[in-house]
Amino acid sequence: MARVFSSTLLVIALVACSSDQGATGKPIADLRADSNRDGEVHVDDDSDMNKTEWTEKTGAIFLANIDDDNKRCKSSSSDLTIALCNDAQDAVINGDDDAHDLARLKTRPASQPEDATGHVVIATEDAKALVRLFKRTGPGEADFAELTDATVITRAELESGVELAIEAKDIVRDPSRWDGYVDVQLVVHSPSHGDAKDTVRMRVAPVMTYHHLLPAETVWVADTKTDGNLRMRKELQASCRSAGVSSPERIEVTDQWAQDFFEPAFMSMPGTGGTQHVMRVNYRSANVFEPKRTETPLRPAGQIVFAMMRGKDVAGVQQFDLSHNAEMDSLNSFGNLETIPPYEKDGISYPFGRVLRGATRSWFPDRAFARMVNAQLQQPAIEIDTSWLFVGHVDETLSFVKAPTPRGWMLLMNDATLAKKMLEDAVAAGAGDTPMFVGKSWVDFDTSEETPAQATISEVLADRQVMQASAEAAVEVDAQVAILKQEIGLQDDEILRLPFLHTVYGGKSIAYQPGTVNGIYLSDTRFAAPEPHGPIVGGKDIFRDAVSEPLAKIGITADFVEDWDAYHRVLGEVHCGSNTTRKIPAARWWESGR
Amino acid sequence: MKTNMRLGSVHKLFIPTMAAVACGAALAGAPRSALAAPPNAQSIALRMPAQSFADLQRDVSLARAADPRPFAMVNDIVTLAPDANARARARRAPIALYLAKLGPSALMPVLEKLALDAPRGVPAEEAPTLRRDLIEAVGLLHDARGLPVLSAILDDDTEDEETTRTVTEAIARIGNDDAATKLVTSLAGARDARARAILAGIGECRRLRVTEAAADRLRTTTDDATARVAARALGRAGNAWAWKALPDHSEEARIRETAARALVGSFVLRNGEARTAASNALMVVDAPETPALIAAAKKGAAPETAKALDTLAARFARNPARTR
Repeated sequence: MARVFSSTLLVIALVACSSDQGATGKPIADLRADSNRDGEVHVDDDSDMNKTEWTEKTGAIFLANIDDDNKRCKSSSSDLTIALCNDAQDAVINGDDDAHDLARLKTRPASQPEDATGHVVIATEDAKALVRLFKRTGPGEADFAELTDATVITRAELESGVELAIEAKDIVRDPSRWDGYVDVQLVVHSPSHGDAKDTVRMRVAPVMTYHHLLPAETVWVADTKTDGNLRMRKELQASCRSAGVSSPERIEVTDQWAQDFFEPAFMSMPGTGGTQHVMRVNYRSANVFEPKRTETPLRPAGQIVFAMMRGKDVAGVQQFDLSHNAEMDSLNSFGNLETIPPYEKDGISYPFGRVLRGATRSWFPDRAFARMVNAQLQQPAIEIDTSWLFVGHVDETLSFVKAPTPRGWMLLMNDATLAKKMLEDAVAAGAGDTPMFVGKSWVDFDTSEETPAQATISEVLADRQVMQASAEAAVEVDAQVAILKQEIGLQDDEILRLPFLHTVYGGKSIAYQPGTVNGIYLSDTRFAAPEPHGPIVGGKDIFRDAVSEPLAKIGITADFVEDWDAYHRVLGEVHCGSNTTRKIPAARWWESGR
Repeated sequence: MKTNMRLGSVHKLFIPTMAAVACGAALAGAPRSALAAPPNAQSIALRMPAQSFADLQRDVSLARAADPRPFAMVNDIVTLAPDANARARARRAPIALYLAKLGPSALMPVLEKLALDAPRGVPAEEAPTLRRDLIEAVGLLHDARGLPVLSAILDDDTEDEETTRTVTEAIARIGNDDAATKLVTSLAGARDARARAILAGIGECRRLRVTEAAADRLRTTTDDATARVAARALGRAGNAWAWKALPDHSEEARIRETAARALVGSFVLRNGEARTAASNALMVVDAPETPALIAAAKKGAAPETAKALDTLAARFARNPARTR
């Protein structure tokens, strides 16, 4: 604070020395924000003067102040109110940390006519209800009071300069209601000399999800206290250790699909010294589990976004439509929201990658949520068809890893044709009687005594349901990849094919073998895949090798995590049972041109 | 089958399930008017021919007398279902697959639960899902003795669409002459959503007259949603990989050719998802006639359609469902 007041005194001194201030006797309105994005507001030079336009080169930024810095929010059990509490809920700055989340504006000190008074207003009509201004009232970090249209700034304040702060009460959800831009206007009114106005254009930070290439910071896993869950967590922990990542954080919920009920994300604005001031955001999935319940219609585990995770510089966001078709609800899970790594195609750059979702015109996730994600503008969504999958998630068939290629990354895709060929080759080599899924069962969650999953290679190839579903999977994944090739410009040598077969359930497709593509990319050199339990041919599990060998060629070690009992046979894998908060990318979204 | 599956609520649900088994045994000899089965089971009973119903009662009794273990095993899985569903991704565990993996001896216990004594103690919101799992399991067992029960369900046009799709698929999987006749007549009498539900399940019947019926729907429908499911059905009927796993190939060539012909026609006529569905189904069918059908379709086609057909031909040439 001392620093702030020193600079104010300096400004006053500069004003006193300045010869042009008020020379004409007319009122002067000069409002500044951090338009040059260096983390500071300059009133003593022109560095923040390019302030009325907002482009990749200039324009000030502020945050939606929706975290809970002091952890004052009490968890609500109601889905309708649980998201309401945050630091922007009231017109009070809730401590120093809260104050840091507000972007600053300043009026440039200038001599004014004797009868001058000022007002600062939100000039953008759509933003009036969503943006709040504060005015400094004292030397403390949090000494601010709400500034409304009615707040009068005195001549003395105008002449000494006023420091303001701004927060958004929410992120952009629907651009037809508010596009995230706001014009903040200083009006200096002098009955004797007329009015002066000055405007600064600002933009609220978008929320962005993490792409796979960003280093993992926190791996999350639900602790459901079953034997299968414990086994998976233990083996994932070992993989994390090998990857140099901290042990997974446990989430105490009965819903084991940690990938699905929340999605880690972030927003940021320029900080001092070229840094970013970051607020982490966790989206809650728009899954509606109990539409008839008035207070708790949503997937219960999603409440952790608020009850457990919301805190200092960590916000929670939910957006849902209770009338969304319940049959499509699984598409709202975040296994159906992944982020394609950064790329450039045809001169258009996507420095934060692009959101990838399963959606078609007739089979789609919650449109209100999709609208909100698209409204962030930084990661334009690519949609592929997952309607043929029973669960319907993009993580069932695709993933991304770093690679020593010009693009810097590769696509992992399921290839059922390769899986079939491997099995046919094994039969040709005389290994048709070799069993797969040894010791595993379909029903019993703890043993394989009565309903063994074990089948020989020849039996699997003779299973018409498996063959039917696998042929369909081969074609449908090809169609998914065709879209990615078109959008990204991916070439065949940028794709790694991981083999596994599908089968039919409920008229749609599920992974028959553990879906090895459905793993977690933990570090540049580590990919945790589900244990495939493939046939041992020539002393090796050929499906393990089919994952390990191609990944090794690009410098990645595959760890195999046992997930059959708790995950695979109830239609998910290790990726579905975990989640990852990743490091903030060095790229600045405000330079993206979006 | 272990009975102490470590799933939270199994034990408290186990007792009523065992009671249901006892009830089912008692029911087997009861007159139809005395049925105390829950509505769905009763509805099936009333729709089944009397002789078929009596045969079913007899077969269930005989099966239990011969070996009660499969009945207990099916019970265990049914009891497990709500908890397994709660654990499953998309909130549905593949209960039908679990039941089918028990093998042929699961048929009578499953049919009993469908037609004579519906599972009790199952939460109301879980009952329809569990019933569909039982239906799907009957189909996966490929046993024609399930046909009377399944036909009775398909005949009920008040069933929801997903149940209609499921039961159609189950009948299709049985796939004998009676099944094929049932499917063709049911589709012929169905319109709109019910027709789509039947089409969505019919593809697993690999009989020529069923494929022709589906192809005819694809040719004549003006509805894109119907075209999508019909294309998918033809893809399934002609699925080249599935055919390799079947013992009888007598109708394979004609079915795949019939499917491919209708799919190329639909590709030409439609756009968007319906066209994509036709393209994907053509790859799955992988009929040798496909290049010639595409070439024929190009003759006189509008430039845009011809270009799309070229793309289709190129995709077919490197068909992802063909071993590289």
